[in-house]
Amino acid sequence: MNSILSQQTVIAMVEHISRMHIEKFHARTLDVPEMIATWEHLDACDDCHRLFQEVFRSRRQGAPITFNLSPEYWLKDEHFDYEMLAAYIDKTLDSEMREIADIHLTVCGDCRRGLNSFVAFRKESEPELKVRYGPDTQSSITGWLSPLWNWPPVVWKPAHTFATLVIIGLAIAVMMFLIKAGSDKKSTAGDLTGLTPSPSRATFTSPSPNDSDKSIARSPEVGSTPKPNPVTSQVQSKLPHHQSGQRNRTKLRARFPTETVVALNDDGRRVSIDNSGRLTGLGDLSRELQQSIKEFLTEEEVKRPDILAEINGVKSALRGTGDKPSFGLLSPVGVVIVEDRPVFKWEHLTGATAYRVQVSDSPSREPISSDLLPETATQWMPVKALKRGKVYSWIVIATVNGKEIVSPLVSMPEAKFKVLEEERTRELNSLKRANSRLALGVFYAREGMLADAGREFQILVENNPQSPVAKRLISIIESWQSLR
Amino acid sequence: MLCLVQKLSELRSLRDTNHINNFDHYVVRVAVNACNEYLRDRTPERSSLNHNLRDLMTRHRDFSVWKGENNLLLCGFAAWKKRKADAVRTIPPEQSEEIIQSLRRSGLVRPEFQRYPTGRILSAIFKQVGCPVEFDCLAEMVAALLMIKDLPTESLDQNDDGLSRELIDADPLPDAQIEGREMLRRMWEELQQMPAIQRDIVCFKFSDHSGEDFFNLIIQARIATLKELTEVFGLTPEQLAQLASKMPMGIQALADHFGVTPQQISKLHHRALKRLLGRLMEK
Repeated sequence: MNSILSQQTVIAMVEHISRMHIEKFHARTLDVPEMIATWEHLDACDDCHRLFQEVFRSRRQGAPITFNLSPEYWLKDEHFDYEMLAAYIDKTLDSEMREIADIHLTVCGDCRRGLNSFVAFRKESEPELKVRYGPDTQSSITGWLSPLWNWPPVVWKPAHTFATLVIIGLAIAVMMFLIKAGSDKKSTAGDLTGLTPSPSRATFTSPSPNDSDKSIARSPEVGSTPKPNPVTSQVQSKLPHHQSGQRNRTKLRARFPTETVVALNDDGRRVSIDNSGRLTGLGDLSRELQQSIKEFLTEEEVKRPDILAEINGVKSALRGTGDKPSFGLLSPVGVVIVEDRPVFKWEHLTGATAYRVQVSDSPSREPISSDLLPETATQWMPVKALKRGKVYSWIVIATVNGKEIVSPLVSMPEAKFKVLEEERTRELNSLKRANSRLALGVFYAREGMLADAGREFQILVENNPQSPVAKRLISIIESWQSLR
Repeated sequence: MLCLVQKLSELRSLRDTNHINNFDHYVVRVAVNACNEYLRDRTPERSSLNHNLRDLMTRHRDFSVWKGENNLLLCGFAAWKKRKADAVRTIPPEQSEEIIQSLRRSGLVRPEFQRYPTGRILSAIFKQVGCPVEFDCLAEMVAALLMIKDLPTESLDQNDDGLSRELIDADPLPDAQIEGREMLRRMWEELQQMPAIQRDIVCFKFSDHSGEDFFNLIIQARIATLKELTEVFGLTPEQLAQLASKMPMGIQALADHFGVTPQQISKLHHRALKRLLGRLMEK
């Protein structure tokens, strides 16, 4: 078939091309071999090229060649999709995308109106976010119970009514007796936890400077057991014991008035935890984050995120010892990052004529590789976004005198980092809008983004200079950093 | 175009069962319907509804929007995402109508409402369907419920007013209007100085005001031969001819071609045009 086609094509190309054939070429309806042959013929034959120009002119009804290179012209049809719209409002677009979006908005009325309507919807729907919805389990339960209701028909008599009432009355009496007995036991246990309210020790908003100095936790030594923290010890003495459970807390709330045990000035708002462990002042946060915040503010020891151990590799003798001159990898190393197209930075290596960067999320997978970068390059950004939620390791291969030098050396820890998960990135974006240093700091800390957490907590300390609780947050981060 | 070709293929397979009385009218109708299908999602009200629904489900902890097999956008209660329940791709019209009627009866949507309780509507729909739903299918149902109308579908092969419809393109923007073959030649020279990916994106996406793609313009003006083009682009004649049949390419097609995100294509294109315009204006 191909040989027949090419023979026909050759014949056609030796002779001049028909107008219909040129029209097909212009409209791109020829198959590939015919198209190539026609194209080559048009390049070589003046007569047929003139015919092509005629077809070209007639198809555009004699209109001259005019084109527009202004960004407004080329961006006028790049309408906002949902991701763009949300990112524009959340201010998560980088400067270049923001510029593109702004140019489009200047020429597209539809997208401008869409943007305004979207902003209005977000504002209006804010209260709806607090309403809880979920799959209805009721229908399945009733479905499960329905056979029980299909009893054989019974003729109802007055005696049945009397018997039913007696049974219900007895059941209520037994329940009341059991509840009373249980609550007496628990109140005794509650008293034993030493939870006598003492207003003078209850809040930490304005302790004396001496107290504050004493209560700042020091970074624990590597490998040592952290000493009990006076701040958390005090705070915990005000909080119900974890084992006591919700019922105990309810009971205590009933017995004692609500008492604030931790309070912080969080960029102008008051965030507090009361003696029942209730966190207030932070608005609508996920339960998970609320729990983390409580842990950071009240627990004696907060668990270091596992991801930090994973991305901060240790030197391994098994990987051998490098004896070649090497150069350092600067960033991202041992961090969790939000950007999915990070800029990889390394130190210049004297004598290097080229560099190549390789990034991989698994030893068994083909790494993402840069082109050969010039000797002046000390940074590179991948064209394609990295997958979120993955831990990556990366190397730079420098060429010196025709030999390849790899950094990091095999005897050094791997340069690893993690790209924050999609869901977490969304959570972070919405947290940024909430303007809470505490919530942001705890989020960063929990996700292993220690530098960011430290920055947020530092501002919190500046807002609460007398608060040992705020200072302790910094010391938690420092202790985690010291374990690297 | 693809839609039109598909229709014509179908007709050819049906032979004598369907006659086209007026081919020009027929083409216009198919084209208009194809455009409407595309524009349906771009109708301001409808597009706004899609964005709002998606946003609420993304931000509300009890709902979720996620990508299923073949990157199909699914939605439902957040709990369903973990359960990996089978998704409903389309809801039969009768069931859809039944759900809509029951929601109307429940008083969730009344004309006097300033705004609809979107969360409650979504929750009610999910409860009735009972499993994850394809996002487009949900949006269609909510649009029907709120009586947000799509563009009407044109009846094919009608003679009354078919050709009187004007398909008007927006006027070209006045800035950076460039004319003539000489400018095209200079543009080609500048393009060859650019990083390969930027050059390729500009060329493959390019069209002049008459919609003519880059290669036809180059051939017509005899600026470069096929051989020269293959050398510049580093492609075989076959690869170049295949690409030519897809030109001018849109952002998504370019993203697929280069294996990058549409945003990256937008950025590279924008960067390249700014540089190109600067260089051409300089000279």
